[in-house]
Amino acid sequence: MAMASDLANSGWEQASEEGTRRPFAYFRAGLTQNPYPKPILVFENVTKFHRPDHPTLRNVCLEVQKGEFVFITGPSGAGKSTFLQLIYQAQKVDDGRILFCGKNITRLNRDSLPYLRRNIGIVFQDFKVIPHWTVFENVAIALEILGLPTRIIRSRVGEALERVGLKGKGAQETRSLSGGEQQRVAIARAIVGEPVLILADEPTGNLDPQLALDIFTLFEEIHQTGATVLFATHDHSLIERRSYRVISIENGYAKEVRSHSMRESLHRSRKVLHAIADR
Amino acid sequence: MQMHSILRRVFRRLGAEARLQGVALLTLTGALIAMLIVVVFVLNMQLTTKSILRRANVAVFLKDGVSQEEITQLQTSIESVSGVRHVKYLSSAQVREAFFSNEASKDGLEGLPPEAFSPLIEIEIEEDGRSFTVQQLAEKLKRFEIVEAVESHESWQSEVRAIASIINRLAIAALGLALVGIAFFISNVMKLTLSSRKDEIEILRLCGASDGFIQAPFLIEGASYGFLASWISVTITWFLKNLADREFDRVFDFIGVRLVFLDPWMIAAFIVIVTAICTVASAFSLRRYLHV
Ligand SMILES: Nc1ncnc2c1ncn2[C@@H]1O[C@H](COP(=O)(O)OP(=O)(O)O)[C@@H](O)[C@H]1O
Ligand SMILES: [Mg+2]
Repeated sequence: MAMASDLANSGWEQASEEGTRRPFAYFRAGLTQNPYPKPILVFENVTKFHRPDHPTLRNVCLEVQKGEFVFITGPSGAGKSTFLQLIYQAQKVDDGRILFCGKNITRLNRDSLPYLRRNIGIVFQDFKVIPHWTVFENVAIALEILGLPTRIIRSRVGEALERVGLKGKGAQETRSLSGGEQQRVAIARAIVGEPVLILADEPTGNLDPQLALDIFTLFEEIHQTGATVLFATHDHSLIERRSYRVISIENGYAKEVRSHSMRESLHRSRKVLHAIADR
Repeated sequence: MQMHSILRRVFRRLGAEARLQGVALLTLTGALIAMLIVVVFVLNMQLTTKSILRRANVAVFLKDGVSQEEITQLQTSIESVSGVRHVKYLSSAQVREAFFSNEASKDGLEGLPPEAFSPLIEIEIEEDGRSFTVQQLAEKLKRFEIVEAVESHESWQSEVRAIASIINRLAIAALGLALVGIAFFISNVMKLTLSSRKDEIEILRLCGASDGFIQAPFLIEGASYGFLASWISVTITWFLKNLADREFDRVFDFIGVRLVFLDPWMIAAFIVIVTAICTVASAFSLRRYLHV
């Protein structure tokens, strides 16, 4: 693959090697030899207050394995965004710990924070693209931050744009694109660095149903390449469409309302039953 | 560091905020031109007063018929006084010649013989570091037999000196104020820039950009304001100075002054100082207002 040869003779190696000496290592998605222990994400009794009497999240305990696709659901204002923000440390926990790749990230200092975020691709409801930059520039910035050489950036951004279906639109000004396309730009930016974890905070919330479905499918494709995806949404049509694990947040409690492993074991046992029946 | 990307972002910003940047650059250049005009004025005033004060000094008029020996004796004893830079004897003929070399004083006086002029000794005194006042020196000289009169310009010299030093101090205070004003102005321009770039900064943060990566383009922008504006203002002031020189050359000839401009190292210092102030002011703004 082009990617593998890039890896061998490019800044990637350098970047990841350098990463190990930095306060927070750089982990890449889809590597066969995982340098980090499983699970990728652990919440240990995480509590977050916004009002003193009424915690937004209380005692949340949760494990996410590498390569999982997890829906985070719950009504508006339930704390889905807060949950995700605690992972990329836009908010601080009031109690408990969050382990990312085995490392406690609730005590990161200001200087290490960027290194954490380089491991996480984030997609928002309001896209958060820079309208007067071109599509290419909006995606490339994620790699410029990593300090990769221009040549690598060009080829990687090209690949990412192709993956999200924006091939050939790199030179366009981002504000000239439709909403769905702008969200694709944001997704390309999130995946271009091949982060180990993708967080999506209601990425389809601003899009009409058909576009929402397209975007959702895109996340599934990304998931299939090995990325772990946390997908926050209150759109039940999406949740019902697939059998992925579902975490529901309500009144501060996080409940596992559908377990991936259970579904999978069910699926597996059905296969066994079919096999027996076939005999 | 990721210099490519940082410079790319500086240039991307150029188009997007042309108006704010244009206004900032123009205002800054205007302020710097005003400052430079003051600097050039003070510089020329200083040089002029210095040359006036040097020219004045002390003239010792000698009696007629004094022997060369006595003159030499007086000359050596004056020379031995510390603080005296130069002593020069002018005979009657030489004084007459010097008098007529000045065009303005020619009319009708050509007939005057050398005897009409007393021979004199011109004493040039160090401006600084002398252990006596000109008054004291004059008193001492008058006691010599061969001395007819002593002429010093002490009183008006000290007046010139006082006025010059007041203007000097005023100018320095004004320049200091102007520099503070420039720092304040640039830090406010940066504040505006930061607030209009809030979304962009937030996005960079979320993508894992370090503080340095986020701040560098703003610092470069601030420094560029200083650098460009100081260059432009130096150039414009230089043209203005030449224009003034050409327009008013007869006035300047009359006063006996040639306008001078800053020498290269002064220009360099000016550019460095202004650039540094703009950079520091931007850095201050970044520390203060860059919270996302
Ligand atoms: N930064 C914040 N400051 C104060 N309150 C907040 C903040 N973020 C979230 N909240 C509060 O926490 C609750 C959950 O919000 P949020 O996580 O945005 O919910 P959701 O994303 O599920 O709609 C809301 O009541 C909101 O007011
Ligand atoms: Mg939300």
